[in-house]
Amino acid sequence: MANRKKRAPHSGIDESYWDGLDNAAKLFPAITNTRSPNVFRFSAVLSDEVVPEILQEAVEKALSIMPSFSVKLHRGLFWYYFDVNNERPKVRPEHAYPCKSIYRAKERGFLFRVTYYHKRINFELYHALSDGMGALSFMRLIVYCYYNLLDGAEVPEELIRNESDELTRDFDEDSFIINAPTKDSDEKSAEHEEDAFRINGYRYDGTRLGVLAAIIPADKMLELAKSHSATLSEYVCALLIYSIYNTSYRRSPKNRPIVISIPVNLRGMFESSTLRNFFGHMNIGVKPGRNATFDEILDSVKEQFARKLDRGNFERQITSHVNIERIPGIRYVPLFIKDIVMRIIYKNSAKRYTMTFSNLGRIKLPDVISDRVERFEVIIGGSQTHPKKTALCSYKNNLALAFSSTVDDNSFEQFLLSFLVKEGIDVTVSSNETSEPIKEKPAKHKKEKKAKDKPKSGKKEQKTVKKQEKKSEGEAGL
Amino acid sequence: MRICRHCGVRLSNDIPRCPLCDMETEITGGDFALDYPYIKSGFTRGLLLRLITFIAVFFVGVSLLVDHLVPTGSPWAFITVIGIAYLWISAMNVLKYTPNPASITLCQLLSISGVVFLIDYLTGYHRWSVNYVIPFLVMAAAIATTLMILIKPMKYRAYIIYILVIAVLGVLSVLLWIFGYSDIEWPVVISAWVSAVCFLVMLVFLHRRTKNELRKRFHV
Repeated sequence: MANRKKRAPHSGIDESYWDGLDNAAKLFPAITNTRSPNVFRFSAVLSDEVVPEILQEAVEKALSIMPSFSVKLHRGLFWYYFDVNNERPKVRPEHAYPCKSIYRAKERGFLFRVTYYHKRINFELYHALSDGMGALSFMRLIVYCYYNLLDGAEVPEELIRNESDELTRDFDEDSFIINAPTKDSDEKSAEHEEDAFRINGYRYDGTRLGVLAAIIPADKMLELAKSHSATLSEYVCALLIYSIYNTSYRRSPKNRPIVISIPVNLRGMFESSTLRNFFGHMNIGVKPGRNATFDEILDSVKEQFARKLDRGNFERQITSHVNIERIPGIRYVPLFIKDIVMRIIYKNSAKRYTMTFSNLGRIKLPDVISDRVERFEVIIGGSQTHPKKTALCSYKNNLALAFSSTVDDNSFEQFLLSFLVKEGIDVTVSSNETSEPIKEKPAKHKKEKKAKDKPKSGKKEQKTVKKQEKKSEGEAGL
Repeated sequence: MRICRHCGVRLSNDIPRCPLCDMETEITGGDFALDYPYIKSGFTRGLLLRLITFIAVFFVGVSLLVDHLVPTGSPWAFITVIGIAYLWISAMNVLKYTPNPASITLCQLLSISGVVFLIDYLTGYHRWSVNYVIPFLVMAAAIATTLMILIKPMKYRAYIIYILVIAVLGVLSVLLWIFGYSDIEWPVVISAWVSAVCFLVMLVFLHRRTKNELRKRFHV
């Protein structure tokens, strides 16, 4: 074991390896702070309790297979860059709110964080390193490695290698640059859009992120979408708009469009297999009238999906992003000035949408381990500019629609889920609003609770300490 | 499992109030899922940094106030302020998320040099700072960072850039004598010589690594 510690855990990457950030990633370090961490989380809910030691080994093993995640972020004079990180990542029990800032945090320089809590493995990633699809590849690899180490031969090693071979070939290619046409295109990427409606609310303190995941039977949900002859993404997108329209939009005097920004994975469209960022955006906007109905909104959403989900559209988008990088002389501008400019550009583009909605689609695992995982969840971290975000993924028949919120107002989620319940969908809610109400309960109830669930021993201690503190405070007051 | 009759949703966690509508929920049987830990809000880094800044500003205010009310003619208040500023800079630097000993050395070198020079200047400019303290500080910093890289060669990537900066500053310290700021030659010359040796060590023995590191830092 002592020998292990000294060895760099991942031999797959050369000491002198370093790489610039991809075109989209260049933005993230500039706009990241503790309130906009640009972090997202994948959670795998296993059928059994997580074994921390195995998980630790699994993460190290996964890193040795996909070494592109084993990097640090550094500032150069002109650009940020990734540098090899020889530390060992530390798997910890979950101890903070989801999607807490990772950049510059104490993750031994890593740009991701793996935590566990009872049956859940949480993998959080800083967006500068990769996007949802890259993160999902790594998350799946962690799960493979975990079961490979837990069960040995039952989950064969070849399975892992086969899965990852294709992925690691072009792991650090900047697919934006490669797929941007070299000739200057005169077309603008998008017509100037007007500012979108923005959700407001009373902000939570500090880094708190409210998470509300609705677990929905996937078959029922697909049926429902099909009955409106819409895809799942279209249906949920329309439902998001409809819910915003019926909640915060009604309370606002401005007649602005409700715009949902949908990141689109471009790997399939442009035949790329990079593990860095490669996504485009599609803004779906509706300006609802006085008495807009759900069907009207859905029709408009469907029409926009058909129009915007098109290769040419994303080609123009990529070109316009890459062209910024190609402006003569811009490369020699010092990084801190670039950061300021990028912050301004981002603030302007952020005004054009109300909420982000990301659909990660159906997640698959090989048969040997598919029954060991109950479901996956994706959570997008909060941001200063957009208090609410929505993400969707499904695994087997469990579809997880996860809302994250930095404001203390759940009327939007309530409207949306009640709508689904009225449509005959079975909704189970998993929320991170855990112990606050329990704290205020009288001591008698507390005792009952403690007896009921034993695994919460850590919490128990906290509570008793708190109680004692309160007591001593009270005495001091007297 | 719990259920909220009002919203019609089931709740997998044991929360007495519905997170959607805040109404009381009912237990319906089955196990409760443990999805998220309870996060207690405590003493955060941000609060610590703000506290340090507050204390610094407070004492700066106190010394200036006392100096104003009880004028003595000596610059003690300014020296106190310089000392507080030094402590504040050091604290902010050390409390960074990922402290790097080489960068802390560089920061200490610059701030201590500034502090001693200002104190020297305020107390009659006897040139003890530029004659002795700064050259020896530079020398110590150059030797310390070079030792760091020799003791922990694995970390060279994090150190190289700071060692180079310190070594260049050391060589440039000879300017103190050339431009007549210091009137004693030998400490400055020795310091410049030691720094030059450290610089050469980087170039000769870690040639490829130094080049690679510079290429990363300055890539366009």
